Amino acid sequence: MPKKAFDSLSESMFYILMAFQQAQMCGTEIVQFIQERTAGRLSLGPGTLYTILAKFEEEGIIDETEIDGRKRTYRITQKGIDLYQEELQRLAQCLADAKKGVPL
Amino acid sequence: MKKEKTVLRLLPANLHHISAIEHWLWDMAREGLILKKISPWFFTFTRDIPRNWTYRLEPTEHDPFVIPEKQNDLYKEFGWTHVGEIRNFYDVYLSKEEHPAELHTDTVSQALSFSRLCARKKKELFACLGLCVFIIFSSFFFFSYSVLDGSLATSPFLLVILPFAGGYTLWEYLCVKKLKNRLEAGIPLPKDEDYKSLKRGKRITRVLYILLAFSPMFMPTWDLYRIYTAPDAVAFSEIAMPLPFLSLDEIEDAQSFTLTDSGVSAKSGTLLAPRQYHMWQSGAFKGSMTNYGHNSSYLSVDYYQLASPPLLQPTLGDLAKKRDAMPIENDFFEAAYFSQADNVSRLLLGKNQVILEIRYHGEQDLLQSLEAFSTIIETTYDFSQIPT
Repeated sequence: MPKKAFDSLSESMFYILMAFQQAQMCGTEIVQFIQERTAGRLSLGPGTLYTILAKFEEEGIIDETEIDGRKRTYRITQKGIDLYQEELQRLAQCLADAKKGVPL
Repeated sequence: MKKEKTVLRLLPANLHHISAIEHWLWDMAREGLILKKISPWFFTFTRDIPRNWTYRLEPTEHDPFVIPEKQNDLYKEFGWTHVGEIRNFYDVYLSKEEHPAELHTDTVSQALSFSRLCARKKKELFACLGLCVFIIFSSFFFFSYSVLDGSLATSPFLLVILPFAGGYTLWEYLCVKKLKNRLEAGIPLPKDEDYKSLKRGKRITRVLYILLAFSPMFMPTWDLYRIYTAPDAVAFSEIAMPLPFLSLDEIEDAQSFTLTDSGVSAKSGTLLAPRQYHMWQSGAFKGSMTNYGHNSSYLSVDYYQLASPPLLQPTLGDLAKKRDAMPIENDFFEAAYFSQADNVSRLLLGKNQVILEIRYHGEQDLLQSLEAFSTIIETTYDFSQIPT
């Protein structure tokens, strides 16, 4: 059960999974993608990125596909896609719940 | 070629004060001391021009002596290079940029790296506890005589190192767990801790470690200090003072009377009472008073020196149990036991940290001569002078 390891994804984890929906990426590309997508609101340090990538790889959420010198590229697995979709639904539900009572 | 001038420094703060250590390394670089090498206890710096370099400590996630290539590659992409490793606890990274990107921007993911370190420390702790339990178990169940017989597993090295390592690992584990819990609660690690104010605490801890490491030397049941510092001793041959039933003249004249040395021997103990029985010196008089073959009279005296006085009663008690000896009242010794079997009388006498074991075969009454042994027991002998 993928959710067991990640009962709720942190914001950084969610955006990293989002980045992998676009294409295979290496570390710097992920950081660049997140900065562009969030207009600089969220920046990712290498420590955070490494810890999350290592955890994702350990849980079979991503795979390493290519090593080019120091550059390592990863791609998302089906398990990762499912996890991302589940999180999207959860967030959508949160938003819908919020909209029910109080006008945004 | 000019040799690089190196400077050695000790860690100024305990390992859980991460930002204090980072701050210290930054300060050192600003003084022109550049970190070159990290050994378990020392940091080696080389002198250079002052730099405004930033250091960061990351919980180690790899096995000892393994270079974390994957992590290093990623960090290098962001301008952080691996400098070394502090005791398989933290990896030290350096950025030469003036305003480098912070390594961690998310407390939840940072907590993940701390939880791995925490799990590793927990394993080490359980390994130490497991060994301690094994030793305690062995001391209770494997040996019928708790004092005289000891386990091979309980070597003095293990006995000193295990409780020390166990305590230290427990402390490390609790510190790491505290940091992990803090991060999991979404609270970032403390920033800008002042290492100068922590130096005193670190010094006190260091003194405590040293005292703890040397404490077994002075513990009543261990007392290793006494074992390695023998008191002023007289030659063992001087034991040839008047013995019961045998005058000095008789000893000198008796061709058959010999001095023997049973050699230096030691018994390992158990964790609960590790060094109870230590015959670091022992010797024996043996000699036929009359040379009539198998039935000849003889008197032998074994002299055992124990590690410390508190060991006297339990050791003597165990010896008495082994020899089926009964306690006897007397005015000269702290404890005395007597047994008789197969025409051999046996006395076990103890005072301070010396035990005498006397065996006698003959017509005299050994119990009437207790006083004669009190001089022997109060003298410290040097057994090295005994010819082999």
